[in-house]
Amino acid sequence: MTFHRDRPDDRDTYLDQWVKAALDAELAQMDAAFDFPAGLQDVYARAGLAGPVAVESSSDLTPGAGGHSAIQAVVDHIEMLDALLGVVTTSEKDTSPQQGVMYLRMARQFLLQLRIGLTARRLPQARAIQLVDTIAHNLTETDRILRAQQGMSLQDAVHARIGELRDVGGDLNHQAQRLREKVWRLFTDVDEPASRSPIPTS
Amino acid sequence: MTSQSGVRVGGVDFEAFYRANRSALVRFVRLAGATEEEANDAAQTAFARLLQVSYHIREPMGWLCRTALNDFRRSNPRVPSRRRKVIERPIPPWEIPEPAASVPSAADVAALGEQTRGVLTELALLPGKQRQVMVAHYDGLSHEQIAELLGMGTDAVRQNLSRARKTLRKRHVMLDEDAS
Repeated sequence: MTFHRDRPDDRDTYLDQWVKAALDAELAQMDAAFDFPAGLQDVYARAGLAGPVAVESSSDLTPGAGGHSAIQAVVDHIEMLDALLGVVTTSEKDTSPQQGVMYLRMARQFLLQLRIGLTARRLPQARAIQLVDTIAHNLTETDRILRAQQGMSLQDAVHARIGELRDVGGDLNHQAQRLREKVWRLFTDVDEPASRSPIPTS
Repeated sequence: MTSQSGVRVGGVDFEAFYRANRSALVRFVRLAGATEEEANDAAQTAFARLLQVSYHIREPMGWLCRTALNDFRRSNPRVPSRRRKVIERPIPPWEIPEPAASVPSAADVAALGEQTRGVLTELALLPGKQRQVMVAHYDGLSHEQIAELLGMGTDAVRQNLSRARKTLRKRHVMLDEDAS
């Protein structure tokens, strides 16, 4: 489907994307600033229940022996992806339609939030995966808009800008998928991966 | 470090549910006129009550919103009751939360906040009811749930949503034109 700003339905879809993205960003910031273990202890105390048995959890990124390097690997991936997207968002207008650029800018904001949250070790797993999925969605939307309006894919736009300067190593969707896998592993490989069950996003 | 209690909410581990929904609940109560501290307190109490209930809750998030809102209103005599009008005080831009303190650099914070705060500022300038309906809608609550929580009919929910969208759309087009 092609985006037409003059069609009411498309305008609403577009607006919804913007508002939802901002509200999700606000939640991510609130999550990153909140001490969840202390909050949970407080909830149990208010309920008059004994505090739950504390265990090392896949939902937290607590500093560990291999934790820092694993986080750094994800941060490196985020920075690589962000640099590639930055190439397109700073290109001339004729190769970057405004709607596509807006999706890209949102994707970059989410990448930044992800990096901040992971670096601060305060981002819950559910929110981290949600951020990665939103980034992937925004890249898909950008690709769709570019194809419809410019007859070129997002990958083509990146290559047009950087040429052979750099081997991207797979298309951007693939890179987003790899990022998701890395983030997922970050939470599930802390220890005893077999005992970890995914935390669904709600 | 976190904990595992075995308590499940809607098929999800309680701790995971808390992590996924706590911030949205705090924001929802804040939009009803609560301070950050009051909203946190009401949210914590609501989650504690959720731990105590023995019956099945079909829509846990809707239940939490209702419980937290009622708790906030009960403990704050200055707050209007459910059937009276919602506090119409727009949230001034300077009260919109800043990015978290633990960040890599000041430049990152600035980049993170710019667009997000722009949209949040526009939302904050909406009349109170429209803002509440809008945020509850994007947080995934149904029109019926929003109507019950805010003490209005579903038609009023749709109308507030439509008006909010119209205002934001106008403002958004203007921002687009400024940027191009």
